[in-house]
Amino acid sequence: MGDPRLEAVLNQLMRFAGGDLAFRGETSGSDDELDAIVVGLNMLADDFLLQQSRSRAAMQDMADLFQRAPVMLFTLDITSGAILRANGAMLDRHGPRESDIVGVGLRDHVDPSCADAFDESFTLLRGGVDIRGHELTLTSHDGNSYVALLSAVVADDSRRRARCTLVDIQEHRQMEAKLLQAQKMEAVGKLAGGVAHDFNNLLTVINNYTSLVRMSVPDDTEVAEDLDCVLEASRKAADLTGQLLAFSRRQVIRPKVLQLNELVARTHRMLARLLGKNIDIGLVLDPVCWATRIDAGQFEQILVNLAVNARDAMPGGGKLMIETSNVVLDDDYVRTHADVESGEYAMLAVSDTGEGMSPEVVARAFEPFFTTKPVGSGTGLGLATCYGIVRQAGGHIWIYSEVGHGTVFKIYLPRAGQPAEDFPEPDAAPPDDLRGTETILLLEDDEQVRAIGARVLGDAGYTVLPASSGAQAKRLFAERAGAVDLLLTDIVLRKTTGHEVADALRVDSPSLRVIYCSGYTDNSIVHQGVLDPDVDFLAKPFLSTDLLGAVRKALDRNT
Amino acid sequence: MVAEVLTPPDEAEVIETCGGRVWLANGIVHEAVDIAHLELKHVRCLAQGIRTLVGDDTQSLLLADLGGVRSASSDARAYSSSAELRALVAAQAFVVTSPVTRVIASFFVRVFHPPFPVRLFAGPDPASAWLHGLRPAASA
Ligand SMILES: Nc1ncnc2c1ncn2[C@@H]1O[C@H](COP(=O)(O)OP(=O)(O)OP(=O)(O)O)[C@@H](O)[C@H]1O
Ligand SMILES: [Mg+2]
Repeated sequence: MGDPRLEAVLNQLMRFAGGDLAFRGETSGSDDELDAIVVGLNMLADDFLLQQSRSRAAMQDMADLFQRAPVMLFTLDITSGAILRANGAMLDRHGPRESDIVGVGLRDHVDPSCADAFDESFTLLRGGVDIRGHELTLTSHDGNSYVALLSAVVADDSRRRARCTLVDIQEHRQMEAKLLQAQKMEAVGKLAGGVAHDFNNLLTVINNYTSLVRMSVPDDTEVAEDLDCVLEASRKAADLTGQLLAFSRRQVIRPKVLQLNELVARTHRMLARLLGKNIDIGLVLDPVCWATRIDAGQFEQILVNLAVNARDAMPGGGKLMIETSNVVLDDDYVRTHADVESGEYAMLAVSDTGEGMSPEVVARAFEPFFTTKPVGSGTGLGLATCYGIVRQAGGHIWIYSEVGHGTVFKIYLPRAGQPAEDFPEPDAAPPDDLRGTETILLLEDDEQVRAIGARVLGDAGYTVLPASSGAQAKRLFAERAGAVDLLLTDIVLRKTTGHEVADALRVDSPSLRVIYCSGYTDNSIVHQGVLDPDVDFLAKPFLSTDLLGAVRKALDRNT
Repeated sequence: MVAEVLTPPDEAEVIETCGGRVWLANGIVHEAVDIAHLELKHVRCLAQGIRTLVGDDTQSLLLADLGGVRSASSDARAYSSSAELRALVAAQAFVVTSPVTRVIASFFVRVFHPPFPVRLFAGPDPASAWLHGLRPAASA
């Protein structure tokens, strides 16, 4: 053999060829071409090893990402439609074993209802076209169906394989549907609130003129009977607008921090009477149930509406359960329920053993005027009212129902930050003598309501200054400097609010008495429908006795 | 071993680093690398030397003599294409005077592709001339 240095270089190459890339050649120090070759080979080996370790790390990263990605990833044989490789998320859904997936056609996991759509997508793929976000329904190994978006990219290198992702959008779809429903309720609520406002003015007029005429005819005449019918009908109409307002969250309320159990206890006796002997009432009350801020009258309305529905669902008798407990809704719960905030809630559950509801009825149950009851027996406002009240209190209401088994309503009311207050006292009876001689400034922009108000007050002996606008009211007030004892004003006026006018007048007469009156609320004295404490309020539609009682009460209070 | 070709003129300020000496002459940063087994820490020292000489925010013309180098590790060579060096160097010429330095310099250039113009020369004069020819594009 020749030159030993050449032989050493050859030896180095043979080692590399044998896979020993850790071997490094020695230079002679003569700085000649042979040394340069050795240095070059050493550097080639260095660089090769560096690249190798880098690409190993990159491959490992990719493999890890593939395995652990929260979306389903797999490769597909385009010719046969069989799955070649699948990641962990795919195994979780369609495995659990590798053999449940690998070698199996993707079509086997597709819900039969979706087979045609899948075939269309697959035909595209076979033609070499990438697909993006095709919606499919699949059936997972536990038998559950879910909606997912399939995307697939044809691999450039072979054209026989596709790289695919499946993104589960089931939860997303459900959220979307719930949100849509919530928006619909919101819109209907606004509409209902607006209608109720005008309606209440009309009812005030009908009511009061009818009462006036009624007072002028003797009791035992046919006319008197007819008029009583009109009055009865307008009372029912007033109930209806009240429900509409509750639904649209425009009812004026006086919420207090109250203990749920106490609320249930106070309504319980009345429920027993309402439900009759065939229905047992069971109470399971959490003894340390949290307090919540709610209007006691509205709460009663909820329980009565739910109980009446339960009664109707159990014509042959059954059991009504009322439960209270404390629950904490966590972020997970919130993620899957539209429009819910996480936090602490006092929960009221009302369940019955009645006929239950189909999913279609459940989906529409809270809609105003939705009813399955025969014409004349249900207006379809019961649950809509509950919904509005619960929402106004910052809470949530859910239905769980199964046809033939029964229904559960769960109401979550946010836990109040303060301890429970004393229970509100029922309204005191109106004073016996409703007459008076004081001067009342009557601000009301509905002409007919103003006229009947002035008439009723005038007939009772008061001096009435009717005003149709804030400006006119201020002018009249200034002209009678000091003579006005009471301002009776609508809350919602065309150009201003009753509150703004009252404030202006009180600059000169701080002790001026004020009664606010409205058929519905916006946010002027009532914030989200919540009355400031100690504000005198008269709800429309009112009867002449309501009006005179409120006026007397305000004037006689010694403050 | 010491760099064979490049020597600083008497008046030049010479920075001694762990990888060799660095100085400024004729608007060109000169580098005489006299480490036999060049590793990452050495090229870092040299870069720091350049910064000391011209400041952080100047892109210099760089003339490097690998005369003393007998091997260079992968990461030392990879450093030549790093963003860190790019901030310092506008263009680089290597003076190579033996087959070994020629191979090493080639590996510097060909494997990791520095993000600035680089050429190899057999002597310092044509190298300086090439760098000066690039001057309008760079401020020395
Ligand atoms: N507990 C229940 N069991 C079975 N179905 C119910 C129950 N509660 C409500 N529903 C269904 O929901 C519909 C709507 O109820 P909602 O209380 O809003 O109106 P309603 O009872 O029909 O009329 P209203 O309450 O105005 O008299 C009912 O017609 C009924 O089909
Ligand atoms: Mg009902």
